[in-house]
Amino acid sequence: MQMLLIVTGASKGLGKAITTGFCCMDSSEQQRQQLDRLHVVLAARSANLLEELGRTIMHHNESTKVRVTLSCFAVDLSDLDQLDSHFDRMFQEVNLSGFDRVVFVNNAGSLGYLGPCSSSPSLMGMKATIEFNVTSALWLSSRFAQLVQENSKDTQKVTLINISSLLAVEAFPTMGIYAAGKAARDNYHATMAKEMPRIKVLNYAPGPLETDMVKEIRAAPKLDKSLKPAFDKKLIDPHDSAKKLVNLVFSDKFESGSHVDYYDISS
Amino acid sequence: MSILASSASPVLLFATGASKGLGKAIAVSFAKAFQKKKITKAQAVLMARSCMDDTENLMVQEHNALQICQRRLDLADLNTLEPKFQDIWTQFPPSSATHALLINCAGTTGTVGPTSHLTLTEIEKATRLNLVSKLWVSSRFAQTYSPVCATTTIANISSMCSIKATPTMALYCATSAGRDIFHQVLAQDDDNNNLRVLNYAPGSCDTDMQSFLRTHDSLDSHVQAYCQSLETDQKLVDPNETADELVRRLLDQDFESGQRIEYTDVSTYKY
Repeated sequence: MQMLLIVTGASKGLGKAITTGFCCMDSSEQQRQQLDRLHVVLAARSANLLEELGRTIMHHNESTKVRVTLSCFAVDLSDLDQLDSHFDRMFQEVNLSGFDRVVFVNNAGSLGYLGPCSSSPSLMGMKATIEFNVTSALWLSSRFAQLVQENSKDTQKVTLINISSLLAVEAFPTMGIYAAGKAARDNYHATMAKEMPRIKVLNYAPGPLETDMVKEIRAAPKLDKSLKPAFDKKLIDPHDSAKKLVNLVFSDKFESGSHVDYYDISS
Repeated sequence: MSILASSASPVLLFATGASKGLGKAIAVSFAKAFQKKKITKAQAVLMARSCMDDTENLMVQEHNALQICQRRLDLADLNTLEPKFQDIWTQFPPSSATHALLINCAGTTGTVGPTSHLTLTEIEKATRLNLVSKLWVSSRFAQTYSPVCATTTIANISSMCSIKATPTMALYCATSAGRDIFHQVLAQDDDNNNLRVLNYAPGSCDTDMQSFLRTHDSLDSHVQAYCQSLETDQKLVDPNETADELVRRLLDQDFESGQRIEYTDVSTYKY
């Protein structure tokens, strides 16, 4: 099985865990999936962290039977003016139809302002958050969908994962901008799923993870007090969440366009 | 506290998208309700890109003592949004009203068509107006009025698209969903215990927006057939009726803050 994996926000946190989840499977799992070849396209801001991740992947696969090739792109996906050229560069050497399985993980995102909606940041602050978390993310998925429409074969399995959140479906105080972005992304991807039976679309809510993002939440001075207990404890290891996601993708056991939460999936 | 409890208390109403369609119907419904309930001190600030004389005239016919002010502005123009609203809020300060209401109606369907065909410009345009601008207006309104006024009420005009993924209407679906949940959070964030927020989905109204969809080349064929059947079966919602219902709920404060209300039963949306 030849697989193409694309991950945005790949250099740390959940993005990194998902990347290693797919790329650093143990041999028995690789055999189970009949993985022969893996081409990985990673995008994140930090060139150094991407390089380090690349080394980890290549090193792991030195002793496996999988032929791995890697392309890393140090890009800022919040810059709308450069978005198209970033996408073009990421895909210019990739022949989509050459793979049996294509997985695109639309993960890059940010928290935005945490605090009461009525004391939201400047207009330009809100604009920047929404441009990164909504406009950019939706556009990347749309471009991917277009690429699939033009280049994919019927025999291919194509999966598009939108990294979602509980906040997409349940409101919590002082997290309004984040919730708005996640809800918008979910509904866009659910709609895409209805339009394109060719792609299996998943809105995956990974659960509360022990990452840099949660450190930001814990340190937010205006986070609603009622939420503190939920975050002031040891949270889910992103690798555990990534593992569940990887298994879900390979098993195909989800309805296209659905919202699936980490806690919905039995171990 | 029902806004109708004391008809002598000054009421301040802000309405966006007030020049036509549902926005216009809501403004006129308010005028009717204020007259009926003998609310004598009411000011209405109407906002839209185009002239609102039609709306103003209809409102005056219902209530001849209403103070009505028209403000032409483009909510999609983020460069002028702050100064224009600052101006409005300076002219109509929170101290001038016991009850302040914002009806956040202006919006766009966004480009209709499959997600794989949308351009970055089209996505950006829809998110700029339907999300950035509208969320900012609601949050700034809450920030300005709720510390001072006895009641501050925000109605976010929603859509069944916010809860039902609708092929070829992804931008409308996405931005409606984002707005709905933001307004739910806004309700939860109420520091002053006097902010009431309602997400109101008015049903498929007989307005330009519906006729635009009925005849649109790129709308999904099943969705279009559904829209066309609404017209042939005379099932389109009269904007005045749904506006009256919204106004009644707002003035009677007949809703839970953060609630979402659908005028039409969602199970009727079959496509």
